[in-house]
Order: sequence, then structure tokens, then C-alpha cells
Amino acid sequence: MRAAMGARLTAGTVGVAMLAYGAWHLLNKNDVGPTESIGKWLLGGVIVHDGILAPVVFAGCALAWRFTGVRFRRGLAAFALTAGSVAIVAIPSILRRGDNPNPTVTPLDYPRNLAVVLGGLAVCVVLYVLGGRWKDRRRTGSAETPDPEPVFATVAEHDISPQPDAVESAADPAQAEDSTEPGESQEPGKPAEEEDTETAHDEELDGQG
Amino acid sequence: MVSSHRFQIPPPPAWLRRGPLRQGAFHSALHDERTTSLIGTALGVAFATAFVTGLISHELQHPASWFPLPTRPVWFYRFTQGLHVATGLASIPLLLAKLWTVYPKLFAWPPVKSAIHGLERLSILVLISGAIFELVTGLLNIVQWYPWGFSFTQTHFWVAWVTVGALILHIAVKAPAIARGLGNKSAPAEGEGAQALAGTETTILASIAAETEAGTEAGTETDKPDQPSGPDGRGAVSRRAMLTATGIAVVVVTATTLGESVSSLRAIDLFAPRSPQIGPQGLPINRTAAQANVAEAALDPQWRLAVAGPRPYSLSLAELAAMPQYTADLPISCVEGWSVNATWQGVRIIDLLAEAGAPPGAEVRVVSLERSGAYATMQMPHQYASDPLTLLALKLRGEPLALDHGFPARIIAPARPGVLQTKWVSRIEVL
Repeated sequence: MRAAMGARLTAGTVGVAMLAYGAWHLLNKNDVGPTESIGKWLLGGVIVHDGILAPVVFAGCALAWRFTGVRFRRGLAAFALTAGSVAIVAIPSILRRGDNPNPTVTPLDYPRNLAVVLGGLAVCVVLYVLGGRWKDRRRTGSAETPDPEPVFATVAEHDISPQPDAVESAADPAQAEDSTEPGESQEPGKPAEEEDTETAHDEELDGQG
Repeated sequence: MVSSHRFQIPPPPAWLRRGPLRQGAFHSALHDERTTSLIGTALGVAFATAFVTGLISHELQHPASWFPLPTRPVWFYRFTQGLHVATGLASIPLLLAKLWTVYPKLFAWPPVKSAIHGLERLSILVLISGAIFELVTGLLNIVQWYPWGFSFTQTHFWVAWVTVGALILHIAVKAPAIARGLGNKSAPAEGEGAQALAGTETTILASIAAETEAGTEAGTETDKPDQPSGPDGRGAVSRRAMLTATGIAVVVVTATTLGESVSSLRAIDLFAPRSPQIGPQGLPINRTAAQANVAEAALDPQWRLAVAGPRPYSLSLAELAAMPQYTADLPISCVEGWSVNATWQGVRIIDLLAEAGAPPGAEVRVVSLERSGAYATMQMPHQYASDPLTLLALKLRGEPLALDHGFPARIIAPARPGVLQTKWVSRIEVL
């Protein structure tokens, strides 16, 4: 136990030292360039991911949860991650195609290749879903049977995009009531007690899964 | 318990707890420690690989005399830099999946519980911004796109130190959660573990650990994840399906881009920014003669190679071609990840240096006709200068060098980055 803590402390110290070493060089901007521009690109990536990309993805998860079956959703998850990654890789080449005076940079037909790969992935998802239905039908004689494999929740029904939810709650306090946990709106002046209430509530929720 | 509360930040008002901040806003069982640590381990291995190969590339470009890198195998840099770019590209789906699993922690309640907890969250901001920055700048660099005001190589290098430092700190802080996740053990129930630890441990790191284990894991289900928990029994995407999806994404991204350095995958090279067979003499180029503004000087029939040393001399192209010619099969391996093997013919650097009376083990400076640019002059450490495979090449694949490949003469050395294979050579100096 003590050795493990020692290893963690050592690793943490090494990490902080490396972080400080890099940060020191970035801030001593002699050969790096303007610090503001670096800062903008550092924070910009997080803002684009956490503020735009992730809410869109989680909204998509909620919609898929509401309207599709598990087998389709499984295919959809693989499609979304693969297609999204491939698109991120291809988009710079698509945007820069023909802009470089050096013709050997981005020489391929990237829009066509992206269409081919996305189309191929979509076909794979459809085949996967149809294959599953066919298997189910052969096994039970009904396509409506739910997937018998052990499964568990990805996104709860009310797990709609955080952004619209927040807007809704702010705009309509009455409607916000059903999304507020009991015990939260009362006695905001007593922090210790409130925390205890919440802890108890957390356990209750966990029990429900 | 009481003493640890004394330093805590007052809890934020309950009315703030809306939308994603609401208790249980994220219900997926896949935001758990096991999924996170499995994907995180893969991402950690990818980042470690990219960091080490990045350090190798940095060392090759800015050689330190105390750390000479090998000249064999000749494909050393081809391998390390191909791996660097490939792991970077493979990290894109891995990072997307990793951030998906931990996204609910962004809305952990309360947002900050103590100064230590605040610092820990700040270190995660550093880690995520650094990770996204490295992947985005790397991705744009391989298509030679620089829509920013800073120097790419320097910034990419120093942000890598920051990111990997933050990553090591993150692993140290999260070690118990990672161990539980990889060991398939369930997380301690919300609150209990933290209180027990805060009561018994007094070191700073212990309190970090306590905050981490309890606080940031809020909203994760701690019951067995194999129980079906869909509201209407339809079930949901299993962990295996999610990990399979991540694996598929990594394989597809890698397979469709790796053809720029692995010959056998050329047929499915769909998204790489370079195609290894597209270019003059079937070879891509990094900088054209027009871009380098050397066409006139390079095509000048009066061109002569100057060799400076104890016995300086100069040679015309015809005189160079009359010297003993050697053939070397060497890859041209670019820092942007693409690489191609080619057959080069020309004069050995060791012969040119011997003619100039250079002492054995001498270092060399090579000067190009390029007037400006970071690679207009190149320093060649002794292990390359004395290597019999290092050529001043006059021919590529049996034909005179194309102008864009460095006519009338260029350097080709084993296991070195392409930008250091100086083109349009005008002068070789013994140092």
C-alpha cells in the first residue's frame, strides 16, 4: 500500500515536472510564436468538443435510444464513431485540396473516397441489422423479439442533449420541477445537511440502476 | 471528516443543478470505470508511442552529441515517424471514445469541492486541451496547413511535454480507479470511500485520491453493469459492442491512411495526404523547386559543387559523374509520415570528404541553393557523414534527378528525416 502510494507520488511529481518544463518553454516564446495564438488553439479544441461535438453526439444518443432497437443502435454507434473519425481525418485534405502549389500534397480524390467509405460503412450497418433480424426470425419465428443478449442502458430516456435541457429549465421554472431531484430545492442555506440528503439520494438512484 | 470540511469551498446553490448538472442526467453504464480505463489504456499506449517517436524525431532534427541515433536499420526513421503519425491518427477515434465515456464528469457536482479538487480538474483541462491540440495540429501539419501564428514544430513538441506530463499526473491520481477498472472491480459507493479515506489518510495525494474516487465518479452506476436496465427492457449497447466499435474505427482510420508509408497497404490508401507513387519519378516531394525558388540556380550549366575542408576544391556536374558511382536503396521518410523506398545513384560522401582531406569522424555542413528556409543548410553528424551508404545522389531510379527532387545533386543518408536529405546542394563544408 505504501509502495503503491510512493509510486503514485513519484509519477505525479514526474508528470508535474514534465508539464512545467513544456509550459516554461511555451511561455518563453523566443522560438515558439505568439502565446495568445497557442492559448486560443489549446482552449478552442476543448470548447469545440465539449460545447458543440459532445452535445450533438449525446442528443443523437438520446434520439437513437428513443427510436431504435438495440441491434440498430449498436451498428449506429460503430458507424458514428468510425464515420466521424474518418471524416475528421479526411476533412483537412478535402478543404486543402488544390490549394498547395506542391501537387504531391493531397493528390487523391478525397471527397469520393470519403463517400465510398461512408457508404460502405452504412451498407455494413444495414447488413448487420438485417442479418440480426434474419437470425432472430429463424430462431423464434418473429422479428419483433427483443435481443436476448445481456444488455444494459446506454442513455436514459431523459438523457437529451444537455444544452436544450438547460435552456428549457431556465426558461420554464414550472417545467423544471420534474427534472429537479426532491430535496434539492429546499433549504439551500444548510450545506452540510443538503449534502447528506444528496448522498442518500445517490445511493437510492444507484440501487435502481 | 470535520477537519477535511474546514477547507472546503462552500457548496454552490441548488438551483444551478439543471440540465447536464442534474443528478443522474447521464445514465449510461458505459460511463463507468471499466470502459473508461480500457479505452484510456489504449489511448495512453498510443500517446506514449507518439511521444517517444516524437522525441526520436526531435533528436534526429536537433542531434545532441551525447545521444547518437543509429544509422541502421536504414528504415529506422521510416518506421518511427510512420508509427508517430499512425498512432496520432489512431488516437482520434480513441480520444473521441475516451472523452465520450468521461463527458458526464464535466458536470460533476459540486463543480469544485476543495482547492486540491480544483487543481485536479484544472490538470484534466490541461490534459484534454493538450491532447486535442496535438491531434489537431498534427493532422493539419500532415496536409501542410498552418492556419495559426505559431511555429508548428516547436509548439507541437512543447505541448507534447505538457500533455504527457498531465497524462502521467492523471494516471497517478486515478491509479486506484484504473486498477479497479482493469481488474473489473466495482467502484466504491458514492461518498463512503471518500469519507473513509479522508478520515484516515493525511497526505495531499491521499486527499486527491479521495476526491477523485468519490467526486469525479459521481453519476456512474456502481451496481453490476451486466444487469439490463433499459426503462422498457429494450436494452442498450453493451460494453463489448462499444469497445468493438472503437476497435473498428481505429482499424478503418489506420488502414485507409497507413498506405502512405506501408507499401502493402497502398491499394486502400484513401485518406493519406500523400500517395507514395504520385510525384516526379514516382516519388512525392515536400517542397518544390518553385517553392524554394531555386529553379534558375539549379538549372544553371555553370553549377559547381564546392567542397570546403583542409584541401578545398570544386567539381562540375560532369566531373562528379566521372567519379566512382555507387548505388544505395534508401527510403525517403518525411516528418509528415509518408515514406518511399527508392534506388539512388551518386558519389559517396566519404569519398568527397577524403578528397578534401577531412579527418575521420568529421562532421559536415551541407548548404543548398535555397536562400531561405529552415533547411537551407543542414548539419550532418559524423555517423552519417562516415557511412558508406550516404550519397550525394545524382540519379533516382536510373534517371537524372528531377528538378523537384534536387537536381543537380542531393543528399541521401540512411535513417534520417526527409527534410535533412538536402536538395539542390551547392556546398559541402568539413567542420
